[in-house]
Amino acid sequence: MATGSLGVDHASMPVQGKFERSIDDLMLEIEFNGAKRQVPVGTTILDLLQESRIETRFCAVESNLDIVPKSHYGSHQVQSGDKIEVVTLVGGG
Amino acid sequence: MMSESTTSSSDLNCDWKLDQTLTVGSHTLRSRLIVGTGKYDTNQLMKDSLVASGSDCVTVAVRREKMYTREGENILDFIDWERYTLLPNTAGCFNAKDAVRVARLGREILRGLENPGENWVKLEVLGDTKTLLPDPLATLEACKELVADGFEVLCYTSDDPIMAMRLKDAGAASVMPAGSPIGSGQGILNPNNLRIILEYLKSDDPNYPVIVDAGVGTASDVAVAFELGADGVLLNTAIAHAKDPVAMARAMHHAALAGRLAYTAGRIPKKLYATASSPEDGVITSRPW
Repeated sequence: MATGSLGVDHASMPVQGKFERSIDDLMLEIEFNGAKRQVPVGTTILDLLQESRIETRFCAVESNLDIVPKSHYGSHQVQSGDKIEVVTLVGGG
Repeated sequence: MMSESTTSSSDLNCDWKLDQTLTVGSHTLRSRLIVGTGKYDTNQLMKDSLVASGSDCVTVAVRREKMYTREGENILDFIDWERYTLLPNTAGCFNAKDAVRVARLGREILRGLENPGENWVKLEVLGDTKTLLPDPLATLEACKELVADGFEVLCYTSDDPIMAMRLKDAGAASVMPAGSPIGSGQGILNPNNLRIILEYLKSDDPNYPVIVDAGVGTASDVAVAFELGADGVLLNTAIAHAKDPVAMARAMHHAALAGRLAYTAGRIPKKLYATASSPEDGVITSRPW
């Protein structure tokens, strides 16, 4: 579970009731193509690709160096600290 | 496509057209030229050049998706992947681990496209950024691992005949010696090494494909490679950076046809002295000796 990764001052956050949860319980930090990124808990690979307008037909995705099959994009939820890499084809010799 | 082939075959009483196909592993290509897709000024220019080259197999590289800054143009929008077999490369890898990783990612992308190229890879593991010469130890290591993983490996290497044998023994579907350094345009610097590679690799296996990869500068280099007996030529920069890439692509196409045809036709041996083409018999003139 991520703790304090957003640098939020929890002490000053308004208490909304006994079911109040820290924002850190709702967000987690991943590395997406080399950049740190905060995403909501439950974010899937497909969410990440769609948000970045990446054509899923043309890409391959790695999570912590393991390839994520295309059929798992919609179900594979990212975890805190995951390193996600998305690649495509470009011109080359 | 290749209308010249059709017209000129009618006046040639042989089946040379059949010889213009190139078989590597499970793939049979209609052209012996494999062309790269890098370094073009525009994707449209690349597309036109690919058509002019007559090739049906093109190399592509695997790179990180550009986030947010994407201009919405993917090279795959310009390559008809139902027409071309894609050959993903491991360009930019300097160790075996990276090369294996990139090869697997390339395969994953091609699986999604249902392109026949999904089971092969152009393996290149480089040792140095300045020369872009291959790292032989890392290349051999990666080749073994990829073959074990089910890949048909087309293996870029130097023109060293012993290394070429090692790669073939490791299971490479094709050994691809460089004519000269990548993008250098120096042509085939050591034709004798290439002759030895061809002799050794084909001695017990005449159909084993040897493809000259890298160094081509102009059409005559392609012709020379085929005249030496190479089964294929892979090139990129010589077309992409020519003043007129489409015209150069066409020139490469003709050079491939001419070079291969000359090879199968069987050239005359080189001799130190001249041999008259007109008969000595019946000459009416005097000789100087």
